Amino acid sequence: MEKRVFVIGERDTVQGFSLIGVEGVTTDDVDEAARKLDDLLRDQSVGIVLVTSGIANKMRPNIESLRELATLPLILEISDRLSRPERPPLMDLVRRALGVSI
Amino acid sequence: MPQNNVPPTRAVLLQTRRDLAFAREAHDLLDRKRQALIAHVWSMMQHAEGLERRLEEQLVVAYEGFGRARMSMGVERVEWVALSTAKATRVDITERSIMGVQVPTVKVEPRELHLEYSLSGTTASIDRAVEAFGEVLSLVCRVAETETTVWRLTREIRKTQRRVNALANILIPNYESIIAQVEVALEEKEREDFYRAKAVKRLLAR
Repeated sequence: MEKRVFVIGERDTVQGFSLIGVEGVTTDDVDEAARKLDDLLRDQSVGIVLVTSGIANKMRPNIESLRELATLPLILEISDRLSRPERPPLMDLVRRALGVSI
Repeated sequence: MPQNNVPPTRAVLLQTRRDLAFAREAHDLLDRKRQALIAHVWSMMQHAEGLERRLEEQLVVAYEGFGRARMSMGVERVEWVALSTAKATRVDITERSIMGVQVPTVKVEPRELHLEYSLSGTTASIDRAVEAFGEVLSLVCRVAETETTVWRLTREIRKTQRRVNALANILIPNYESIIAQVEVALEEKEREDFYRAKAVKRLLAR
């Protein structure tokens, strides 16, 4: 299945990705980003949504639960020019989910 | 031990023994599934962490390249190029199954490389930025794929774990207690019958 890729967030990231033909919206408003994310999650033609860390860090609980629920699109955080994703490493999340059984 | 309201008959005993054997088998199978899933997640995780690091590094490279293109061409010109590209990049997502769990495989659709912008007014720096972001995109696909796989497998492990626990801590002990209870009751009945038979024999012998 061919799917679109979409970027939400900081301007440089959105512009950089649009150089290689990836769509995106520039925003630093949490509500706007959440609305856009909502639309994209309902859109069957979208395969991956990238959220830049500046905005993702402000809507963390939201993003985490969406990632757990949604099958498609896949949601991924990437760092923008100023910030990195402040999420706990994958290893920690898995450890917590399983108890420290590994 | 829970009190079970089952009639102490031989039929119940046999059926419960069959159920117990079945529950034990299910427990072993699920436990093996759980272990296999954990091993799988473990190996995916090493992979995922390396990929995430590479993505972060490549993003730094891409932003640098982008900054350089801006410096040599000017902010407006870069923006103009960004706006003028056809937004035709697609990824190919297919699902496959690991031990009954649907996990995605993500690939960037290879694009025929044609120049989206005119050579006049752009510099080589933008070509390098484009190249760097292309590399970012292919890493994004691989990270999204492995992370999602790790997540879904983890969820499945949790589910399997709950089932294993339910079998080991509730179902199996429950069956065992029913069997013990019915066995005791049946033995008691047998003894009673035996002595009743003896008493009858004694009466008849008189």
